[in-house]
Amino acid sequence: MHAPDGFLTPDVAAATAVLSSGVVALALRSGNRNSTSDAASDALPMAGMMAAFVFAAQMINVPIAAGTTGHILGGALVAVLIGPRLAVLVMTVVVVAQALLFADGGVTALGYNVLNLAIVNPLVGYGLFRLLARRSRSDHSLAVAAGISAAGAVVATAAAFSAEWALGASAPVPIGRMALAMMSAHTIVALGEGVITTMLIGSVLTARPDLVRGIGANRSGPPPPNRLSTTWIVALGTLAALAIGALLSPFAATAPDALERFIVDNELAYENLSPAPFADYGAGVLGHSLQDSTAGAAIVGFFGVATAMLLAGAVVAMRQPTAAKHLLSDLAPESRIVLVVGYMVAVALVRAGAFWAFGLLSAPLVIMLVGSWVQRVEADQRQSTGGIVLRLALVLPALLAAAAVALLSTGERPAGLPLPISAAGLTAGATLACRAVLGVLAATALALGTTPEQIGRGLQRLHAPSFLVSVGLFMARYVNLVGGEAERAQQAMVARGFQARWLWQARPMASAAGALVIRSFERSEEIHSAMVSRGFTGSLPHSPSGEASALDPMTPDRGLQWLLVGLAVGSAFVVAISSHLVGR
Amino acid sequence: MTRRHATPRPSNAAEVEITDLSFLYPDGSIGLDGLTLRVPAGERLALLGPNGAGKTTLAQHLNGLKTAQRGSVRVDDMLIETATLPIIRQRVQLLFSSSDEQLFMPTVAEDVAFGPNNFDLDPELVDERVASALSAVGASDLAGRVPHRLSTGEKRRAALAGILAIQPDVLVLDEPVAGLDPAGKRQLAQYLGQLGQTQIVITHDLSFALELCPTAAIINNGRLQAIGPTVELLTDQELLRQNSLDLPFGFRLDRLDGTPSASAKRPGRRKS
Repeated sequence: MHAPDGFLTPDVAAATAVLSSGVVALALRSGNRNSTSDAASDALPMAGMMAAFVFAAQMINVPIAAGTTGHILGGALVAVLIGPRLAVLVMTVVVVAQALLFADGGVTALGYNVLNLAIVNPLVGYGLFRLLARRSRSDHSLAVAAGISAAGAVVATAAAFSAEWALGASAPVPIGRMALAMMSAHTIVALGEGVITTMLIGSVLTARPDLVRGIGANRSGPPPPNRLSTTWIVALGTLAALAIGALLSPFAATAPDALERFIVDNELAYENLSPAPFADYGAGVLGHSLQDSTAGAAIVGFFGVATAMLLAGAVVAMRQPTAAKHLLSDLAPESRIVLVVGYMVAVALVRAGAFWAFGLLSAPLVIMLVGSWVQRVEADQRQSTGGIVLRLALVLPALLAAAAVALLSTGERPAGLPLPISAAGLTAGATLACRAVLGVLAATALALGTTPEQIGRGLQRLHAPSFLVSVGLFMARYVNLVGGEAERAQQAMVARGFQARWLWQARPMASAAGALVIRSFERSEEIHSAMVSRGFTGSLPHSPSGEASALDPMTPDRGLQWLLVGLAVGSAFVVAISSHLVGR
Repeated sequence: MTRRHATPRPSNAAEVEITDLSFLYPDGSIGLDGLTLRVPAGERLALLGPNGAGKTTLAQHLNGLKTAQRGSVRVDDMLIETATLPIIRQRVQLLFSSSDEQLFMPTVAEDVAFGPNNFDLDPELVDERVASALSAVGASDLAGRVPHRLSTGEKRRAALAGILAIQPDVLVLDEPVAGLDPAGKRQLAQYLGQLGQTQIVITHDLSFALELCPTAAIINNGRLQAIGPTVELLTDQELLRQNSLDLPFGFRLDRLDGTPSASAKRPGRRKS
């Protein structure tokens, strides 16, 4: 569900970015107004640990059916646990970190990704939960209410995405078709999210009922009159979800998200997934359709860009390794962030189908990427090559999304194509693929040479909201610990012969995740008392300049740096603008 | 921005006096049950006792993370109460049993600076404190490191530097050697032995207690069971057995020092 760069048109990307920033700013402010600044910062360890938990939980594979796995989005879960305002902030940090550190979701797609995943998802989930929780008397029904809310939140997220597509489609896919595809693909995801959330909240309720917020008032109050029995809600909801799931699950096989996890987590087990339409996509199209001019141009364009990247990279790697490695590593973190974001905006602005422009823009990127690779190999970081390859595997879901767009597009079909793909769809798909590939490469180049701590420092210098940056730094600090705990829990299950293939086998995993939630909360309480113990009274101290230098690379000349960044971003924009003027 | 910086407070060892301290957890389980204990200034006291005896609960009372439900805690005649907390937290510092919770800032240097910054010290003085605290535990080379990449021993020393930078009068160390290898344990004992502050060391490691602390107290069921020279408590087989304590296999104290345990004072010890 993390959309890659260029999935929607630039105007929608910009509009959603404004909208999302507004909502996030509101969430930041309303906290400061309703309570003292003390309480807002007091929530810092908890928000940071929840962010780390969501990050880690998204690494836990949950079986859906027949060996296919998925992971939870977690927005509704977080909202139920820590309330809607903090949930929006926590999810925003997670989504931004995924884009900046792992190239999961495009940087220029952050506007709509934050809107869908960090705002719509937790808010709808929380709203539904409040509605349903009012009718819940027992822990059991409360857990089910949380599950139904989580499922509803996933559907709402898919609906929001479809609505945005109606406004800013990057390919000629009719809204009805896109909505059907999104909804059907995500019904099964919603079902999984619902079941997992039910089990997870259930296990949290047994051990630490105080953690499930927003319940207290309902329990003490009198039962609302004339209420629909919980059992009925549960039964109907489950039945409806199952029916929709069973009807539409064939479509879900091509859902990018389930596949995405599958690919990344099962270490690229291609044979297992091969959804029929994509199996011989490249070969079949190439073999039959090169006569057709539009389709041919699209295909040649895409593969041309790929070849240009490889060639440029190889040449640079062989001839100028040291020059290349200094391109990015000498810049201060904030300059790097501006450079990469500016570059990605330029890529998003390139005219669809202007493949020469993508090729031109890819050259410096590949040089930087190879540069940081060379640097890592020189620094004798053994797993660096494997790590880079694994990161680049994140291109795959973006490519699948591009292929889905190409398949869903309507329009005139070129002769000789073995697949039901329209010419316009092919161009749109290839353009999307180019943008996504460049986006992933750029984010990878940033992440390779820059630690999460440095990125946090850079964002601080760029005056990003300090609460969000602090939550992000907490997350970076603790995600390994939480992830390690998740991994050990999973290993312990596997070691005792547990092998999940179906959703109903997910209970042990959900209770492990529930234990992880409780552990995360308790850890955040311990961190908080460690902070209080050392004199913390509610505001994070500004770190003295002396310490900050430990995170900074040598930055001899700020002015020169910004000049270089300006020149680089400027020329990228020149390429983007000229793509609209040349070759139409 | 004009910000007045607090004048640094001189650090010296302080006496800790705990009088009839009781604490009940919300679920009704007993944390502390009328505990009375005096630790003279500059003394290193080992706090021994089985799991759930109330050791960590006591530690949390010593710098006001928990407030006394009954009884009192004084540090050099300063009663721990809400009004004195800002000063108490400069005077008494806790080393938590898990260093991961204590090291939450992005780098070790920033984490060590966290405490001094909270007390509004002059930035130059903060830098100075960070440097001296790190060197006091042999961790100067860790300054720029990211906490989650440190080994357990390095984390423990970094966390210790974080509380030393506040220059407290009393150190309360909760399980300082848990998870450390023998070399790391010896190293930590050596650094702690050089510090002049009053130290209250909670540990299950009886040989570590013997090495570092001349005096020991045994706590069980939230009450003081015995207090006396460490070597005497550890040679009293009966006392150790009653409090679920056990010396390491093959470790015999009577070979080191044959004094029988009769001279150990046992306030609050019940006859059974």
